[in-house]
Amino acid sequence: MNQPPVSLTAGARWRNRLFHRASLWSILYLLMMPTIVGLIVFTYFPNLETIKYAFYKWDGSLTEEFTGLSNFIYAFTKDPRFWNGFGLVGIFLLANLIKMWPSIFVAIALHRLKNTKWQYVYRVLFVLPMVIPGMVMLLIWKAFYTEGLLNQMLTVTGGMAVLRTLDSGDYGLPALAGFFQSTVYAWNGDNWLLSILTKPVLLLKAGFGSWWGMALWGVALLVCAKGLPSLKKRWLLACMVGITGMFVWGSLHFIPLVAMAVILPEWLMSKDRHEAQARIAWIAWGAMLGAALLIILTEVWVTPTQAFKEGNPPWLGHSKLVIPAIVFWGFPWVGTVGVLIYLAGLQNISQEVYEAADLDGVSSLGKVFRIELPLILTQVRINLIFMTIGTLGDFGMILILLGPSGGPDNVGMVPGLYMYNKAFIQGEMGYACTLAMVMFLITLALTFMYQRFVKVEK
Amino acid sequence: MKTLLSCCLIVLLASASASTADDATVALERATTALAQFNYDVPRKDFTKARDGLPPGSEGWQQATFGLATCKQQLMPIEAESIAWAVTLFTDLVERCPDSRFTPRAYLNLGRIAELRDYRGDQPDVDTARKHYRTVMTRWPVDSIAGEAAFRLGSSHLATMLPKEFEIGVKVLTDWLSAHPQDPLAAGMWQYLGDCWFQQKDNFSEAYACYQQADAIGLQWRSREHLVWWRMARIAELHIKDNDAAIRYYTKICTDAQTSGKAFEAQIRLSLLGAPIPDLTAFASYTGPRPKLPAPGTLP
Amino acid sequence: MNEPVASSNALIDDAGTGNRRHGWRRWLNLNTFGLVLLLGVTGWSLLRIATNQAKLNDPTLKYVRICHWQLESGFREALQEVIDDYNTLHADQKVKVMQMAVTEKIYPQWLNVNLIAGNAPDIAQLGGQIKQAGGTSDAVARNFLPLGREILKPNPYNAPKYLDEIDPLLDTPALRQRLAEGSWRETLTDGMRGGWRQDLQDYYGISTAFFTSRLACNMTLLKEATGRDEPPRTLGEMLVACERLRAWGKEQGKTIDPIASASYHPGMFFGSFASGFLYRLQDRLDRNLDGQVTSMESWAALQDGLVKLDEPMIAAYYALCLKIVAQFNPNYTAMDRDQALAAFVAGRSAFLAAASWDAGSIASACKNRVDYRLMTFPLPAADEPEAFGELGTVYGQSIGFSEASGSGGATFGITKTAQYPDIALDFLRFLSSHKYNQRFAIRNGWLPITVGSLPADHMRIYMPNPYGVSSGFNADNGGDLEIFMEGKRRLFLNSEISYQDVVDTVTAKLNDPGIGVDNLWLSSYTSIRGEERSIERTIAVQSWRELVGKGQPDTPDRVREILVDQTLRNHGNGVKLEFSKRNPNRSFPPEGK
Repeated sequence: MNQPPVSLTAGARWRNRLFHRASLWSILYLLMMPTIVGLIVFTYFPNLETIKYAFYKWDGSLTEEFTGLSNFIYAFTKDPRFWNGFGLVGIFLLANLIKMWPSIFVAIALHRLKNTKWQYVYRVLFVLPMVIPGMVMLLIWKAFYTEGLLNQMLTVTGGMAVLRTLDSGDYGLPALAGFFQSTVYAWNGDNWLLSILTKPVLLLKAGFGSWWGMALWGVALLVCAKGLPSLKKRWLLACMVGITGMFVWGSLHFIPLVAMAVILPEWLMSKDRHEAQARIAWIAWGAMLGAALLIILTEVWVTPTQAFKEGNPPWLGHSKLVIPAIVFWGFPWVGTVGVLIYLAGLQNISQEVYEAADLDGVSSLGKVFRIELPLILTQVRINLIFMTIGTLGDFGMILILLGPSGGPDNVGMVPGLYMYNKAFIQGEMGYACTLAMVMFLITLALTFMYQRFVKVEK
Repeated sequence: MKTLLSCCLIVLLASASASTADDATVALERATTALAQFNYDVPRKDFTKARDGLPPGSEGWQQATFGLATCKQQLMPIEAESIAWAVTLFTDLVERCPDSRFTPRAYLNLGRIAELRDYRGDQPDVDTARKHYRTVMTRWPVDSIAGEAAFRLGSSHLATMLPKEFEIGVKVLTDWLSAHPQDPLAAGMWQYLGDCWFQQKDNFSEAYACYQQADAIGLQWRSREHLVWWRMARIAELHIKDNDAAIRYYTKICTDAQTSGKAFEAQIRLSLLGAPIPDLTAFASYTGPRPKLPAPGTLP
Repeated sequence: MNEPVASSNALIDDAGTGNRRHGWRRWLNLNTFGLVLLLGVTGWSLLRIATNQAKLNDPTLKYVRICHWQLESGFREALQEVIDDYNTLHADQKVKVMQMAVTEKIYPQWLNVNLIAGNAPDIAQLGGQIKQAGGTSDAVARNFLPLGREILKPNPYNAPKYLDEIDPLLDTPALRQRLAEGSWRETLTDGMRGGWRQDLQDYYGISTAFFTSRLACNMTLLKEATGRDEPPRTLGEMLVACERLRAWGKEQGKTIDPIASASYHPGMFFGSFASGFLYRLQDRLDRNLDGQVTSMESWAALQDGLVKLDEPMIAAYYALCLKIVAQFNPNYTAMDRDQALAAFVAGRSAFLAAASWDAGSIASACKNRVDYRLMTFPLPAADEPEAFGELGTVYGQSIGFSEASGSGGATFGITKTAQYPDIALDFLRFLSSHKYNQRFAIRNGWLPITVGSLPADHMRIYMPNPYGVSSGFNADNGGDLEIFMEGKRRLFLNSEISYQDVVDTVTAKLNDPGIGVDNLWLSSYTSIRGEERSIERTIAVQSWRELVGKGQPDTPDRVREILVDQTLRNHGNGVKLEFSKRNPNRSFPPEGK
């Protein structure tokens, strides 16, 4: 005999639902528990300890004294050596940004291969280097630099002669830098023609305070115009750039520049948006390229290194060559994992999109920048984030190659290495934890910026 | 799933109830062993349990109180609150059990708490420290701990590096040493006095005399005796112009501290002074060339 | 209609075919196979553990385990021979010592786990890198037995009946007396410094080997390039040979770096002749007359002008360093030991700094390929132009540094969980006795630790040389200032800047508020205060042990010794006093972070 349905109260129904859900989810959580516990104990707990000891004076074993914020105050106000290292990190970041692109282009080239058999062959060839452990790659490249293989290759290909020429104090880059600095920077107003040419440069220098600042402003302007239609977001980015500029270069010039980075797009884009964007892009690219040229002329190769005379420059021993050597490390910078990730993203692009592009008459290169790149921007962004985190914190290779002092003239003293010195050489573990926290916050801020400003257009 | 959760709950409750059933004495024993193994954190709960469970003033209660106070005093990071707790516990112990075997050490620890800067912002109170040290010296004058208290008292004056405190500190220690020449800490006191005369007053002859006393008893600075002997030899040679004394101590380094790394330099000095040179028998296995020692009176 | 009966036999439906296995066949599947394999392996493993444990718990035998991480060939075999000798000697007491070699990478964790579980081996190798086995004083004090007064007693295995393997050339009554009647401590070359814990004021381990460094000379290459049949005797001869090697390399179209170098090699070279140049600064810099010039004394002397970086002795020393480095591969800072050894063996370098622990691997790498000879690091002779005359000598002759102050290695301690600590102690006495330590060293190719012992013939050149002096200037441990100076020093050694540039830039930083010497004064003061406070903890525990009866008979003495050591620190105020003496018009730097 059928029972009549029992009517339940709302509370009873809620309890039933909760119990049913709980009994389902409890099994899932129970099965995940070992991993969660392991993660908490072996990953999160040590990091929480780092946060704790950032507020302590701690030598790693014997002395433990709560000091409050004094470590942080010291780091921000009395420790320029830590912040100096970020200049080098900026160079590495820029280099790594450029080094991301070969993988992308290789992935695109692989993707475009019509013959599936050859696509497979090339894919295998690109994946094969993965079997070589990272330590072996490090040793191979170390031998490349230290055993003279690179020097021999340069000599045979004529590259050494080119470098020798570039290094010349009479007709190389140092000579050009010398001429530029002696005429532009030392201009005294005698020659009216020269004054027309040099005044803008001097004005720009006064305005930006640093050529790096000008480059940074150009990047901000480009992003503001291209990626950020919202006024609020443009102000946010511009303020970040401004604060960075003022903090790093101690220059108040960034206040008007911040305003200009926002107002210029706003003013131009109130008219024809596309035309305005193109104009702003021209201005931004001009600023960036001009800054790059001026940096090369005034900061990069201003004195002859004398290292190429004998034809065996010490790439890892000379203070001026170490950083270029580290930047060049891993050439041609085609990372297998990157290629595979981008390839996977590209393979999600349907053929109809390409056919539509063909019908619209889009060129091959156009397809790269209008179809393929935008559609793999998610993967690019992820790689960008990981690359930034790695570049900011990494110092292992520098420690192995240059030692804890960062090499000749401490050129390789990145913040991570400085933190290592503080922790393990000088025994100031507490202060090293503080530096680690500061680096974490900077990395977090940069990641936040990527998330907000590197737009993924679908 | 319900069964599984119930089982987990039962196990947790059982273990909790099992722990509440521990005897205070067992807890005390456990905590005592843990503290003896440099554990300051783990035994706190057990000491608290023992202290709460044992009759106040009993032997076990005294031990638990002292142990808990020690944990509070030494657990890193040292905080004002834990130091205050330690003071409270030590004070409770000495007031309730003035004749306990823990009491003298408790007074000393109170003195150390007052004297040392334990945490940032802590202000040393040497007057209170000295008061506690004097209490130990007067109440247990024949125990070895009195010597320790005297040492602490003297050093509380001398460590300030102030001229008028220097006089007081030296008097404290020399008076004690005169009255207790066999004190187990006598050698250490003499060595300390020697350091103070040397550092603070540049009085080499007094310093030398103190070091001599320490050395005669036997230095209490294991594996670094050669540092003291070297200093004595240099003082004798450079300042008090007693070459015989210098020779004596350079020789001592060559015979009793051959592995210190200063033995050959001591041989050089002996050679310059025209004294006999002992062989370095500890390194008889070395058969390589040996440098010639300089002739007496040669300038370096 | 008959419904099919659901039966527990009908559990398997083969791939949905509808075929169902019955009876025992239903168990024939991969899951069963996996389960059987898992249970079988687990059971076998449990059986092995039980068997081993039963063996260890055999009441008729006393097992003593000794663990270490020295997996290189020679060490384990040598140790096993000593163990076999000991077991034979004590067969009637049914003692069995057994060794356990654990790979270095997991040794700390493995030992940690076993110590916590309470079943660690009786004897364990100590090491500064290992938190539980020497990294921190608390960990050492918690897990290892102090050797206390034992080390002051004679070693019974140095009794006359055991002294039958002393080399005739060394056999003297004084040596026999020292071995037989002297304290155990005094029978070891390092005075048991390797096992001494400063912060605990006691010995916690016994070292079983000593380590020094020498220079290997590739005679094949040297003869071919320079015509020399003998290694150079002086530093000047060596530098001349290096120049000739370079020139010869150019003629042959080969890249020759005369001295094979890894990043840590320069220190080994510089250290060998630093004392000769810097010894005489000792009289000026050693203000506290203890015979040691600390880095604080050196930096303070630089700050108040007592010594200058450009004074002749120091400048001459650095000039010689530059000449040495000029013979290295210019990328030496990035090179490692394997690259240096490869260059030496491949005939691209004629000289290689060789530590005694590495002697075996160098010998096997060079076997049948390179004729090489070992020599002491050459010193500049007084009459050589390279030696800068009298500047590089002491009393008119070149004297290196004393190797007597080194500490032994391969140090072993007795764990607190040892079942037979007396036997463990006895075995350590055995291992560090003259006869058996000598045998141990000969077998494993290292240096012995005992006085009057000799290693294998090819290792005799490594025997420590006590006839040296200590440096009178020590700019290590200078914090950020030292890092800065190291950076400039590297530029100088790369010939990118002159020595005067180094002097000027470093001198300018001596009073820098950020990294200057004042920071070193402050850190010296705070570190002494920190040490004093940590010693307070040791005193607290030792006095607790004394009070509750958990100490050893000599615990009261230990408390006193620690107390003396602590009191001598004077709350760090000695540093402030010294500062005020040197800087009467300035106040001591305030504490920042």
